[in-house]
Amino acid sequence: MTIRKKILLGLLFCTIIFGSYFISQFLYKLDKTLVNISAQPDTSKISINGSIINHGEIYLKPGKYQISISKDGYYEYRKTYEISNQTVNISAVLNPEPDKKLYYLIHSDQYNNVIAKYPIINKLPYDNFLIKIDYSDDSTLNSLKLSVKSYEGYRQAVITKIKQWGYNPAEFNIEFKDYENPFKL
Amino acid sequence: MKKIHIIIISVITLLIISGAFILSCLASLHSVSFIVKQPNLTVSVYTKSNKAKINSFTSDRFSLSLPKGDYHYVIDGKNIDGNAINFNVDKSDITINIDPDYSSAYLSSLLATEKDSILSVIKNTYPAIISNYTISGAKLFKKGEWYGAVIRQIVDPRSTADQYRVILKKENGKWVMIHYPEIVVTKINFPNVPIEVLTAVNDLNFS
Repeated sequence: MTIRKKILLGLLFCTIIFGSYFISQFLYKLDKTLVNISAQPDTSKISINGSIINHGEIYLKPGKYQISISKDGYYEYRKTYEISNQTVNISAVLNPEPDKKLYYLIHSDQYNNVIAKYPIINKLPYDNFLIKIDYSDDSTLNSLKLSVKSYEGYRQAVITKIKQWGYNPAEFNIEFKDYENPFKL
Repeated sequence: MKKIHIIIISVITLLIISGAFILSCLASLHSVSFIVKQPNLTVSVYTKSNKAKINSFTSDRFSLSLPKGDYHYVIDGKNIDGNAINFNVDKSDITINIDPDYSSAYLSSLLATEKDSILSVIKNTYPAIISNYTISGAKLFKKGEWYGAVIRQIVDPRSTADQYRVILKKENGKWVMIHYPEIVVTKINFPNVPIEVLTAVNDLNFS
């Protein structure tokens, strides 16, 4: 076989492959309508009638569809659309849910996320009779507050304890219970 | 195939392999730019593995082309701690800003001259209660612009008292108390204080 024939055969092969692709795309879109779905945050999960789609652009046959857009930490967007023959643009901005309290997250399937963000929680609650350290009731995934209960003269032990655990006390929000700072102006 | 053809192909193959090798060596070199923000400093760069000196410079800007690896540099200058500072060259060019803190010895000597004005600020801020407290473990940090100390109430030797940590900053030639003393200084209650200063102040001991 000459080089010329080889080139021609190669070109024919490419033409068949690309042609097949474009024909299949054309046939796929033939009786369908383009639906553009954009969501904020752009990492939201989009599902149509319960099936997750990877991209915000899809071709659908005319009919009724339930479109859901969701993301952890945000309220879900869910709406039924009647798709006809005209292109549909759907745009949704998810509203964030109020911060959930750390207590509930720790006792849910979010436990690993909480520990990954605040590994010190593995050490809590700590109680050695002179000092008690725990996370405060109003702590959330975005804001950990350590609650310290101790006695006059022993409160600074929280610094030593946190350092012993391998963390920097300066990085934490620390609240002392039953205590008033005499220097607070 | 003639002998000459074999020789030509061998030479071309050798050239391609050599070229690829040279290119990969060049691609693995990255530019490391040093920007020195203080005058009269000498910076020496060493390999970390065998501590071999690569170069030494005194100018305010200097660049080196280094292959991937671990290195360290040592700063030599008046009133500067000459500790080795590690850096790593990996996938891209890097810039290293050199602005070292004063040495502990020099900061101690500065504290001796600043002590009275600092104490007067603390006493003037808390005239009613400071006479019942002792200030201890005082230190200056960074370039002498941060002051930290431990304050503890004077109590009966059989009793205990909480230890408070105070931080002052020198602004426009004057010492200013930026927040009231706290048992633990944190980035939450002292947001404008460098974390290294907060960490060091929490480490201060009452003596």
